[in-house]
Order: sequence, then C-alpha cells, then structure tokens
Amino acid sequence: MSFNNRIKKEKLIYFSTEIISEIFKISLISYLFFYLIESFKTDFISDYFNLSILLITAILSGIFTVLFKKETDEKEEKQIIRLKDYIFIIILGLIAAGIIYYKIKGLGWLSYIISAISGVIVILLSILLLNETNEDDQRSED
Amino acid sequence: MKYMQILSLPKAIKILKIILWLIPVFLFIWIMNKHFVPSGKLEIIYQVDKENKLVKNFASKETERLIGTKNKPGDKDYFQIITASPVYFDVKVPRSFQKANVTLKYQNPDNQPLVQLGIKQANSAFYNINMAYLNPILENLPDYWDKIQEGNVILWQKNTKYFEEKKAKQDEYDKYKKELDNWKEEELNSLNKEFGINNTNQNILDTEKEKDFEYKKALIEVKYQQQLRINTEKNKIKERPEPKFSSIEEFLANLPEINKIVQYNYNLSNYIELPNYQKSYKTTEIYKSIRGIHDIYTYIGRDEDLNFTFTIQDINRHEGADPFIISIYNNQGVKVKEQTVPDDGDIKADGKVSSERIMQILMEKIPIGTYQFVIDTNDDIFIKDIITFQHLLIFKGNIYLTDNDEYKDILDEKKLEPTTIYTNSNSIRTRTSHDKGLQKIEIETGGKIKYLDIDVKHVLKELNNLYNITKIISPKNDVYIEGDGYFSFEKDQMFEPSFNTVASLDNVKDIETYDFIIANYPQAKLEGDWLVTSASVSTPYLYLYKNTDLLVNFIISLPGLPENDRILKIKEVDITFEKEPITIKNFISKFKNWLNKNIKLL
Repeated sequence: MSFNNRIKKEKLIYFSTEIISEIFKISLISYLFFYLIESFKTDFISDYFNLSILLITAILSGIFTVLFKKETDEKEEKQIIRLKDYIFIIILGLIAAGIIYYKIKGLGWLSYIISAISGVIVILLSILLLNETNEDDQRSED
Repeated sequence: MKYMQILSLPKAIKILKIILWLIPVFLFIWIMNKHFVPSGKLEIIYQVDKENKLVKNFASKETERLIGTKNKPGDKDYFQIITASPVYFDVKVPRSFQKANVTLKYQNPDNQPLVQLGIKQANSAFYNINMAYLNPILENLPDYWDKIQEGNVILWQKNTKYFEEKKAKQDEYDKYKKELDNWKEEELNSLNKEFGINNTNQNILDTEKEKDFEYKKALIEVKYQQQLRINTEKNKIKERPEPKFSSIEEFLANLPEINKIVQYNYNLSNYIELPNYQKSYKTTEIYKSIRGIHDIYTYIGRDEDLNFTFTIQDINRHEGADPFIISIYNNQGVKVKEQTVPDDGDIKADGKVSSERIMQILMEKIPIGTYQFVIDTNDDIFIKDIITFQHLLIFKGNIYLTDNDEYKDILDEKKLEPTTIYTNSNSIRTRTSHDKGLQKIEIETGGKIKYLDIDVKHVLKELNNLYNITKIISPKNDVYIEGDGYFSFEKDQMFEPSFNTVASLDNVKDIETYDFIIANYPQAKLEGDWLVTSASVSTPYLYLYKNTDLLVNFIISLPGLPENDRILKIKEVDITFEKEPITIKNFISKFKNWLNKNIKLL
C-alpha cells in the first residue's frame, strides 16, 4: 500500500469515526432529552415522532464508535477535578431529584424522602466515579 | 502519530457536525410547532393504510358488525370498505381550536344519497352537518335545466322553449337533408346511366369521357354542398336564451308562482309573503275566555314584532300542578321560544280560584312567516283574554269556549254573552261537560242555517258537509268544539297558514310539471377516481372532550347505507384545525396563560 493510499485510508477512518461518534452523541442526547420530555408529558414526542428511531441510531452508532475508537484513540489528557465539576454534579443531582419527585409525587410524604435520597446518591456516585477515574489515571501513569 | 498530526480536523467535518446537531434541533422545533400551532392551523391526515397516532377508533366502534376491511396489500389505491353507519373516529388534538374543516376522500359505487359529518357534543348527542348529497333526480336532470350555483345553494331553471325550438329546427334540417341525399343519389344514377357505367364496368371510359364524367359528378357535389350549407344556415339555432333569473338572490326577491317551485333541503317559506297582507296598527283583543290546550297560528309580516299578552287564571278543580307553557314554532317547525307561567302553588283539587296572571311574549325583528303557539296546559287553566298586534289569529283543530254561568266564580261580573266563531272545517264535533252547557248551536254554512243540539253531557255531536267559512254561534258557551280545520273569533282573522308551503322534491312525482328547483345541495367534487367533500364546524359545536387526552369525537353518518346493502370506500380523512395564530402582539398574554395553566397542573 502506497503512502498516499495509507493516508487516504487513515483520513477516511478518522472521518467516519468522528461522524459516527458525533451521531452517537447527538442521538443519545436527543433520545434522553426527548425521553425526559415524554416522561413529563406523555405522547408529547411520540405522537409525532417514533423515539425508537433515535434509540436504534444511538445503539448502532455507539457500537461502531466503540469498535473504531480502539484504533484511533489517543491517550486523553489527564483531567483535573475542579469546583465547577462539583457544581455541575450537584445541579445534575438536583435535577434528578426533581424528576424523581415529579414522577412519584403521588406517594405523598414518602416522595420527598425518596427523591432527596436519590439526588444525594446521584451526587455521591458521580463524585466517586470522577475520583475513581482520576485515581486510575494516576495509577497507570506510575 | 505523524499521520494524526497531518490529519487536522477538516472543515467538512465541522460543517457536517453542525448539520447533524441541527437535525434534532429542527425536530424539536417541528414538534413544538405541532403542539403550540403558532400559525393557527394544524392539519391531521388519516390515510386508511397508514397508522396515525392522532386518529383513533376509525370504523371500529361496533365490534359485532363488519364495518370495513382494507383492500388487499399491493393494490395501488388503499381504501376502507364501509358497510355500516356511522363510522366513528376520534381525533387527538394538542390544544383547543375554534374551527375544524374535515375533508373526506371517498368513492360512492352504490350511490349513497347522503354523507354527513357528526361531532359529539357535551350531552353526548351528535351535531350533524351535511357533507354531500347525491339525489338521482337532480343528478340526471335533462340539459334544458339551467343551473346557477352559489356556494351549496343551487337553482335549476327549466329552459324548454329553447330546446323545443332546437328540436324543431333539427327535425327540419334532417328532413331537408334526406331529400337532398335522395336528389344527389338520383342525379348520380342518371349520370352513371348517361355514361353507361354500372357497378361491374367502372373503368372502361376513355380519358375524354372520364374527364367529362368527373366534371359533371363534381358539379352535382358542389350543388349538393351548396344546398346543404343553405339548409344548415336556415336551421341554425339561435344562442341559448338566458334563463329567467340570473342569480339566486334575484330569484328569492322575485319568487315565481309557488306551484312551479320545488325545494330540496331548502326552506323558501321565509321568502314567501302572505298575499295582500297589511300590517295592523291597532291591537286585536279577544275577551272571550277559553280553557285548556290550544294551538294558535298567527302571521308575522315584514318589520313586525311578535307581541302577545295572555291573561290566565287557575281554577284548581283537578289534582296536580297546572303550569301554563307556550312553545313558539317558526315556519320550519323549529321551536324558537318557550315561556312558562308556573303553577300557582295550589296543587289540590280544592276549586280555589287564584288571581289573574299575565304572560307577555315579545319577539322582535323576527323573519316573516307563520308562527305556531302550542299551549301546553290542562283544563284548570283559563285564558281570559288575548291581546296582540297581530290581526291574523286562528286556532287549529279545537276551541273550548267557557263564558258560562258554570264558571261564575272565575268570571266574576263578566257579562255572559253568546259567542260567534268561524271555521273552515268540513265537519265539526261539539260537546259539553255541564248541564248549564246544554244548548242548540247555530251553524250558518253555504247560506243555510243548521242546528246542532247538545242535549246530553259528555257526548260529541257531529255535523258534516260544511262549506268554506262557516259561522258558529254558541248561545251559552261551555262547549268544546273540534274540527278538521281552523277556528277564529272574527272572519277576517282567518288565513291559511300553509299558504307558503312549497313542494318538496321527495314528494314530487313528475319534476317536469315544475319550472324551478332550489336546493341546498353540497356536492362532492371528482378528483381523479375519488370524490372529495368537506364540511366545517366551529365552536360551540366543535366540542373537545378532555380525558387523559384532548379529543374531538367525529362520526361519518351514512343514512340508509347498511339497510340498502350499499358500500362506501373511504381513502382519506383530512382534518384541519384552526385557531387564532400566535403573533407578536398576543404572544406575551398567551405565554402567561400557558404558564399559569401549567404551573397549576404541576
């Protein structure tokens, strides 16, 4: 294989990987966003658009992303956990608690406790996950 | 690593990524547009071969019966065969709308005469709108019926004079042409004889003779054509004459003789005035008391108000409540008003006479025509007087006169006098319920005076063969008189309430005896192989049911379809909902409303 051909092939793989991973991100985020709306207002989306299309797209593009990433992945820069990450995690936790409360508010006083605990769990797990990843990175560097 | 440095992210990837991100953004905007309908119009199309989550229960309510089947897959045109009526379908809408326009695409192989759209109302009844008619008489009218259409209203005018003339000219032309053809044939035969040509030796002429033959033959042809042209010109038909009326408005303003008009799903009675009717500027006062149920007819002319005052009194001789209810019906038999005087509070049969009460009925700026008062009460209620500005006033079927000593307690000091009434009945029957009511009724009919002797209580005495307007004099009253016509207290109060009755197409045997047909006749339009018809419904008839979803319950009603083994093929239903569009001006107020509503829900 000539040098030019190799370059072309590399470019094509790179291009495909970028696009497919982007499709994965778009379809997954869109699916989650639309699903969130749907959970608030039933049939808001599905009356006009079949959400399965997005889910299938996310699954297929996700599989391809994982397969292609192995070849092209470079080692990502080491991430430092900053204050804004903690703030972001707390906001996400609050949103999660809010959604859970909305869905189970029929339970009465129990719904406050369950949603609060769920929010705390989401925040703690997220922080734990971030720290874990960071420690793994440090270990592998050693 | 080197390759990766060479492969910097191309511009194309960036653009493509932006495009990809825009897809869900546009999808979201599209869905939001469907929900909030900022343009004010939402179109929902139901095609029978495709599922639509917004259209439910299509032709599926009566599970016991075969309502419809889709045609075989692979056929070009999908349709649903409808064999039962009505066809139900519910449409889910994201918000409330003021108007809906429903368009139906269908085929009508068995000539179903009527297709209706129904919308379920708050009381679960359906409000029906006629979508398309198919009347065999109107569909197959000969071409001498000129047609004027304005919206769904169609006027047909018979134009026979033109067609009779056309036919006569055509007959004349045909007759002369036949003579001309005969002449031509004779001329050609004699020419052939002259040149000795018969069927077997056509080509034996020499060149000179042939030229001469051809020349003479051509002369015959030229003469023939010349005569034919003259004949054509002579029998040329003049242009089709204009019909009598150039518009429906003109027709309605100058109605021809009623017996020459036929109506179909149309009511002309509001356009027909009572001949020689003059408005009265003084009141008509009837101070003769009557009791119980009566049907009164009056005529309201141009610029007249309906104004009646009834004075009533309750004699409480029978058990139970004695309400006095008057329902007023217009020309079309539609109830336009109902007024009630409740019971006086005494439901016992104690014979206590309550005080006089008054019911006034006033209806201003109402259409001209005959109005019927249906008085629904019982024999405990006496109508002591009627005062009105209407001078035409008749009682249909019966009248119960009561100015008798028997009712002294209710009539007080009223001077009891004989009563004269008039009727156009052919036969009358009379009876009384009290001894004081036994009497000889004097009847003046056809110039003769007859007597009807009521000598027994509770027995109907009958007299037949009455002529035109009959005068009836009751010396003692307390008599119930019934007949097959109308009664009035004065001769000039009499009129014929059905003077404005126009023949209905459904009851007409021979349409050719009429000159005009007026119809409210919505028709389906032919688009390719399919018929398309539509109907609109607006609030308050566009009723939205709120359960978990906001639904409009529609039906397509096909009267007589299953009974006559007819079918209808439905291909598509298109429902376009309309509301006020969102503009910059009303956006903030609408947004506030939406927010308030949703916060309350949360």
